[in-house]
Amino acid sequence: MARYGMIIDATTCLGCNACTVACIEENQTAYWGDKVRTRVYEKEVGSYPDTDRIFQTQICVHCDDPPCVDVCPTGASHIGPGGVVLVDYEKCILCGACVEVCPYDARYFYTPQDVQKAREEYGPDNEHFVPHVDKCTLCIHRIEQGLEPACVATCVGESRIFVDWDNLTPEQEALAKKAVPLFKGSDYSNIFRGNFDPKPKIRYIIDKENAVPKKKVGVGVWLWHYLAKPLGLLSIAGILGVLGLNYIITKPQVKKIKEQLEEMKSEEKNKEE
Amino acid sequence: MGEKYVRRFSLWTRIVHWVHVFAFLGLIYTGLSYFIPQFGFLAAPLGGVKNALSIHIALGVLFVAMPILSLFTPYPYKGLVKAFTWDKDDNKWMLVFPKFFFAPARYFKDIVSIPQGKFKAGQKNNVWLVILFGLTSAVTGFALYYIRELHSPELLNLKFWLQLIHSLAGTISFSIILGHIYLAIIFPPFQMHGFALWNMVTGLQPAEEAEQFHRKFYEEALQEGEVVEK
Repeated sequence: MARYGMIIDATTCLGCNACTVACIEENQTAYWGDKVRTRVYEKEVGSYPDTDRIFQTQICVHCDDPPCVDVCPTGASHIGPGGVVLVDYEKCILCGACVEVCPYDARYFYTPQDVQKAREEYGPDNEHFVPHVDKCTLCIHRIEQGLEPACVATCVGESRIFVDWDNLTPEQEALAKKAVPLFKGSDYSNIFRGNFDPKPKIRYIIDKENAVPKKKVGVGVWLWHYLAKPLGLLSIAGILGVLGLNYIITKPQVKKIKEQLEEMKSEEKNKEE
Repeated sequence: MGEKYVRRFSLWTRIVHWVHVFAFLGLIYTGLSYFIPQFGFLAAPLGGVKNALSIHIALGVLFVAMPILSLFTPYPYKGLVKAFTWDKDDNKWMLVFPKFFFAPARYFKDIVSIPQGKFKAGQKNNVWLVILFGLTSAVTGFALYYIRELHSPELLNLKFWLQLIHSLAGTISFSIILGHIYLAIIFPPFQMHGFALWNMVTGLQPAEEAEQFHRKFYEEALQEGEVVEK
């Protein structure tokens, strides 16, 4: 079993954005409206005279236990070959639950306007033919052809290293020891699962601060997913159960009721007479 | 001599009711197909979840339009006033009904001894609960539609609070309607004079049934000449 991912060495990232451009070119995604699958964040750290500028790429980290797949109500977000987190565009209703719960902000809405624009830019046969939530596919189509993801292949500083976590080379193993998930378990925490570890397959080598901003996830989406869905299922099952039981109990009693009715009728007749 | 019936539901009432039934059941069917993953298979006959959502939105408009249209049909307020008029007999009926529901033979005489109007106390409760949760679903549904069209990540937190209320209101409405359907077509003591459902199809209720379960309404109907033979 393969578990595809990346080690991103933020210490060698030049901030050239070649990864972003290669991704757009390869996947014919939007380059308009600040909608990209991967981008470079930069941050100035330290105080004069000991200052530095750090560059760090943001991308879907393809968790082994992804919160986005967990909350998807239609099964559109799913774990594909090699543990890559994918979206089935036909099944996506753009509810935005996955967009909301991803702390990396690695997903965005590919709206009907974007579909129209993509048609104009890339032709009618481009893969973004219906509105959907879009995200990195780790260029799974390239991996299946024995190639590296486009962003890895183009990375000038060789900061992005494509790996199969189940089959690391000795060089990759040395890097893997230094690589850490960008966000901690507490960054994914919610009131129902606590600080769980989603086990990201894209890990970073960082020697300074984290430049990728963490998004705050609202409580509403967790309540909707963990409370409303099971409650809906339970209440429907419970009511059907009670009604079924009621039928079994009350059906045999109809005969007795009819007898009582007859009695009541004859009593009335007697009164009238 | 034919069977005696009471004229109970006007043609308009029946049309509004059945269009509302169609819209409501369609909303539940499509809504479930993309709300609870276990019900995802429901979307297949509709051509997928995207279609299910489009149908859900269209039915939502119908669901809201029908009661509004019904206000322009003849005598809509008369029925509403009856549904919202509550008296001491209704209190008594509500106390006896839970016992009658599970032990109808034992409590039959008790329940029929309480005179009820055109609507039983339980039916009156059904009316206001449907209005309350229907309105909640409608308001949150329209808000969700507009927020969805904006595709704004900044509004997602608000959207899921609304989604939570919308889903809970839909679940509660469906639970209530399951009870209503059960009583109308399955609950054996209410089917002794034929399917209660037929009352809403033909507009006529067997006189004997009306006399037992809606005595005040039956007596009014007798005086107004609304009892017919067929």
